Amino acid sequence: MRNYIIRRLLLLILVLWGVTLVTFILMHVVPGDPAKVLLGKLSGNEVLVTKLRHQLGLDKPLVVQYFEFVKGVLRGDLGNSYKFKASVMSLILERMPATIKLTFGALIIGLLIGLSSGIISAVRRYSVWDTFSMLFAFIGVSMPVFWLAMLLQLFFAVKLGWFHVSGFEGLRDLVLPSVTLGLIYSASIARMTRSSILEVIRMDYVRTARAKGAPERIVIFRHVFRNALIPVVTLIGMQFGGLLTGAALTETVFQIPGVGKLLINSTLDLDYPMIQGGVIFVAIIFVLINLFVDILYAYLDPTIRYD
Amino acid sequence: MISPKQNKPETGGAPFTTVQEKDEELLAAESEAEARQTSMITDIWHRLKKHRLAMAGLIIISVLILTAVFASVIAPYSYRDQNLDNALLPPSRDHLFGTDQFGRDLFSRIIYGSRISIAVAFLPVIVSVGIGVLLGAISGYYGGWIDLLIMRLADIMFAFPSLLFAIAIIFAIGRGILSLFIALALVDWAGDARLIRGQVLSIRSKEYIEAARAIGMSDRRIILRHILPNCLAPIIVTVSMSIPGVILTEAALSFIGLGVQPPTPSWGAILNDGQRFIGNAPWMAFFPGAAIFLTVLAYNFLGDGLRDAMDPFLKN
Repeated sequence: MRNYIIRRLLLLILVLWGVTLVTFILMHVVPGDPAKVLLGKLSGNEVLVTKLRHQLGLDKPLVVQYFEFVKGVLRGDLGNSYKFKASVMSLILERMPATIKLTFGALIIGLLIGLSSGIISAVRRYSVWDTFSMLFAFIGVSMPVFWLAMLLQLFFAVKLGWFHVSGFEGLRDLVLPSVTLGLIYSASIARMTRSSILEVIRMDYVRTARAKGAPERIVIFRHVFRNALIPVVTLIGMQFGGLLTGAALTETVFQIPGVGKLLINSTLDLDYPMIQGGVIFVAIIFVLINLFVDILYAYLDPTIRYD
Repeated sequence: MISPKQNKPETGGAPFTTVQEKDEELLAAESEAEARQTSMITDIWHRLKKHRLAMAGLIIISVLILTAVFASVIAPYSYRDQNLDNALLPPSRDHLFGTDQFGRDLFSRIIYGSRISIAVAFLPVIVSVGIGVLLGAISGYYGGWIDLLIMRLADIMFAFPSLLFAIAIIFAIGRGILSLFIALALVDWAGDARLIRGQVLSIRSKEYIEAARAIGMSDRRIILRHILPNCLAPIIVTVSMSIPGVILTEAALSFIGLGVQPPTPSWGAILNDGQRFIGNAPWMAFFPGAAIFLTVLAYNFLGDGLRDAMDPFLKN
């Protein structure tokens, strides 16, 4: 187990280095010259362009630029946004709370609905409940999150007037976005929970538990769930990327000032450092969460040997 | 692999005319493998036909393909001609789905928009799965440093949520349909590569591969004629499972303005307009979203049915 964690941490360093390299390469094959884009109408003025290129450090060799960039990342400095004239890191951190609240709300709603509907489905297999909940899961995985967001917005905010149509003033404004994201998220959890329980329920140790006369409730809760939920934990980690991008789209529809909306807007503003820093930031968060989930998985399932 | 041997090969020789005489025994084995594959496909089809949801999905997809092909015949209006007098009209007999802020008929725009969805479901997915299969097969077959290199590259790819990576790619190479396709083709290969690598690893140690190597067959031929055909079932399932995700990613990219550029209609882009007029023209948000949803649902139904129908072939 300790060796596994050490190996994962080594891999983490490699992956993080790869992330900076891939992002850097992507951002520097940009056909346009960022300095010219920044100057807009003034881009014909060669003196200004040269001066700005020098200011931005764009006239140095790529390798030097890359090393300076990595040095910055290590210090937590992701550069400065062209548009906001402020540090990318501070801009992201400023918008983190809204995104964290939204994702957390969605996670809770998703787990509540997903786990319970998956469990009912599996325990009452082929019942009306099962059909209903699997249809619900199909609908959930097929629905574009931004469309569901708009439908809920239309019904609960525009028609019924229960919530603000958009904007973010208080926690109340996070209800619709969290429900949107949580519903989508619950679909894949429900599917995974169902198939995982159905697999475990066939196991010999479940039959043994029943044979020795344990009440069904105990069999299900103590013997089946504990084992069946392990793959669900991995799914939660794997789906986290989806949750983050889903949050970005939801933030856009409901105009919530979160990290996702910031990144999407920066692509339209051609804010290179913002995109570069944002991509790296999100990738690092994603990698760390997956590492955490994998270690949790190894801890939960002692039958798996990692060597 | 279980397969009833009812379907004898019809043409054994055609593809192998260049093979020398001494390979005859092997040739027989290869045509038998081919026969196994035709019987595998009929076998899968028989099971798929009984899957009601899969059939429903297949029908919706067929209708969609016909719609895309005959868009110019079906659509009552042009998708680009503006008429500001007709702006934001609610659904009526003249305009089934209403009109948008430029007075363009939404029904016609959604009909034409199906072309993008169909194209996206095939071209980028084929390229993406192609990259995944190729890298996965090389990785699994050769092992060693090349395996290490490809798998670490896959690890790095996994660090980027796919929509985010697609955004970065489009940002780097500029907007447009071609960039959209490149971005969609490049974001998802890593999972496929891992899956195929696992399959290849288990097949590589089989006796028939050892036999093929013993008679001096080239690596290329072993991979193409013996390993990949045996990975066919997981490859088909992978393709069918990737399509819904790719359609949703395209819709999301067009929705945030990085996908198909106006006036070319794409469902995601129409939704983007719909968002701005959600208060006074809700139909602009409803219909394009419903089109995306139905399409993705159909592919999910079909994918699920295919996975069930292929179940016996998936266990190596």
